[in-house]
Amino acid sequence: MHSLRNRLVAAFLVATLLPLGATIWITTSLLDRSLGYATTEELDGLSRTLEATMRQFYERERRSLKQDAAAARLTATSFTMDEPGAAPEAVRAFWESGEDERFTLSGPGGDRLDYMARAAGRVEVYSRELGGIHMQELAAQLRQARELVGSMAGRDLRRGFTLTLLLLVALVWLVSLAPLIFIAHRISRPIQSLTAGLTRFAAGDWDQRLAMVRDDEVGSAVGAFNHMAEQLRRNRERLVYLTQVSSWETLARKTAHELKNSLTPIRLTVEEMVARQPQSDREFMQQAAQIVIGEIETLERRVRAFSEFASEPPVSAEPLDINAIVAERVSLLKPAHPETTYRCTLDAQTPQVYAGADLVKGILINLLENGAEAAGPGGTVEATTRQQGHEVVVEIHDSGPGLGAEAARTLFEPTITFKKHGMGLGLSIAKKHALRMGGDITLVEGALGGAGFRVVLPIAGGPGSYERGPGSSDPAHKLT
Amino acid sequence: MTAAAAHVWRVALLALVYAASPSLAAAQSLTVRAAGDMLQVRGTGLRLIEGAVADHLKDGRSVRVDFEMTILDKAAQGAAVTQNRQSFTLSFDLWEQRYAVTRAGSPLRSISHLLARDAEAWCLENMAIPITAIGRFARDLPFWVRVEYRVQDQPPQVETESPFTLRTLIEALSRRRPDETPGRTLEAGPFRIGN
Repeated sequence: MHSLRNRLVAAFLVATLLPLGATIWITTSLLDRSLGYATTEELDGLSRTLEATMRQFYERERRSLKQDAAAARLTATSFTMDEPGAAPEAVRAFWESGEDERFTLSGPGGDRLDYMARAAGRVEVYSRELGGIHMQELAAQLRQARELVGSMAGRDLRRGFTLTLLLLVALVWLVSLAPLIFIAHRISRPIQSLTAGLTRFAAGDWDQRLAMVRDDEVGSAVGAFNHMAEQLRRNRERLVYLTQVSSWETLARKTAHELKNSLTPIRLTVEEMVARQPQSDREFMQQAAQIVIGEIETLERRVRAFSEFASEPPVSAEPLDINAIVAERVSLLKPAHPETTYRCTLDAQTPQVYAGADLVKGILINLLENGAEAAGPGGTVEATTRQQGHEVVVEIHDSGPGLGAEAARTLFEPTITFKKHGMGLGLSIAKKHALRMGGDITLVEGALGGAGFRVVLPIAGGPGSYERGPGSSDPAHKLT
Repeated sequence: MTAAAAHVWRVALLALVYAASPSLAAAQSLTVRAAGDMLQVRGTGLRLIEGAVADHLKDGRSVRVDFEMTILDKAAQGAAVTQNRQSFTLSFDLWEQRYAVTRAGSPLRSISHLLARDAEAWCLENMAIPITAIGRFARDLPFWVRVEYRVQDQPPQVETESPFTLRTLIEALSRRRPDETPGRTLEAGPFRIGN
């Protein structure tokens, strides 16, 4: 499919053939006119007239010379032919021809006429000047003129000029057509690949990207496509995740409600049972009740965690100094993990982010706490900030053992764990909050050998935050 | 149609066929004679210096003519016993109205102040073949003589500095198709040297 290239070539053909045709027509017309002025026929006529005239002159000179020779008005040069080798070439040739008489031209350019007459054993040669007329030279000039006439007669100059013009024009045209096809191909090829990329992307290939080959409008279009594809892919992933989270939230909310409804009467009943127990048996009963109530409280904490996961606190987005928040969170956590080394590599040029302060703080605490726990005593946790395009990137790396493939796959899915600390919902809540602010959290390769998390947040005043509008408090709703 | 009319038609038809056949027309135009140890051919129907050739010569141009004389063991498609090829260059003296002929090769020979028929005859004379070359046909067997000539009339060439110039291109594209190279074949026989 090369319709664009073909159209470009067709445009070139249309744009050039018409003026080219007009140019050829004008040129051939002018050529016709100019050839009409050719003087070949005049030259032919003139040369023939001159030849006839000079022949008459020559005949007259011949007659005159012969008469003068006969009347002995001229002195002859006599060549005895006993030894023909001693005679000039012309005399010898005459002698050998057997003719009685012969006229030949001699002198420079044939300005003398010689009359040779055969006599007994000798040749008499009479000679006369032709009055400065060089007959042989004249014959040569006449021959040149006739050759020119013959040459012109043997040529169709109009055809020759026209064919030459057409040939050269065609050559120039073809030579100019070749780079045009090349240029058209260069123009159409990236557009073609852009179209193909769009088609594949529309067919579901979300990872479809195009190579940036040029720094022009087409290159910008390719760049815009790549950016759009990346945004769409990320938004799609966010959408999918938020949809899943929404389902999980519904499930968590219902579970928490049901559990809460059951746990309250159980707790009251157990307490009532202890209260009504006689004093003598109360000790055992109180110990048993403490165990039950302890478990109920554990369950209640999980119910609260479920409720928190299911809740959607309002996002009060505002411009935030992310470097200050990161530094403040690290300072806050340092006393809790004195054996862990915290390192901050914060880019001073990092712009403000547009996000909810509480949510950002919650996300950072979660990641820094996880990092410290994974790194363990003597480990290191590093926090970095930088700008990347229209976003701010915060990365938290730890020197812990890292994550397995299965854990990495289900890292952001909400789970229920029965470990001492945490409910297994922290990362999913953090991701949900990041998504609601127009950002994201992803797992990246750890820079310290352990896990690495990347938090992406929109820049304050950037395109992402502008789309949500300054009055919007819940950008996640915009996404969904 | 009466018998007389039919006879007239037959005669006319035969005359037409006879006239249309150059070899038949020329059948009696060649004669041979032994001049010393050479076999000389003479022809009256050569008609070389006529028409376009004569015009070219009278325009002052030289004309090269390639002759080929072949002794055949029989008429028409007979095998060639011996052959002689010669090239001649003809020219014309405008003032004397006479022709000059030069035979190419070695030795170079030339002659001038000739009439057209004499120039043609001189060409044939200079095509002589040694009698020894025709072997056993010299005395015992009849032989046939075929004379062919072809005029190599080269149009005057325009001198150019390079073959790849605009002028060369125009020259090449404007050249008309040259007339068919004039030529003629005469064949006669049988001959015997004794004849």
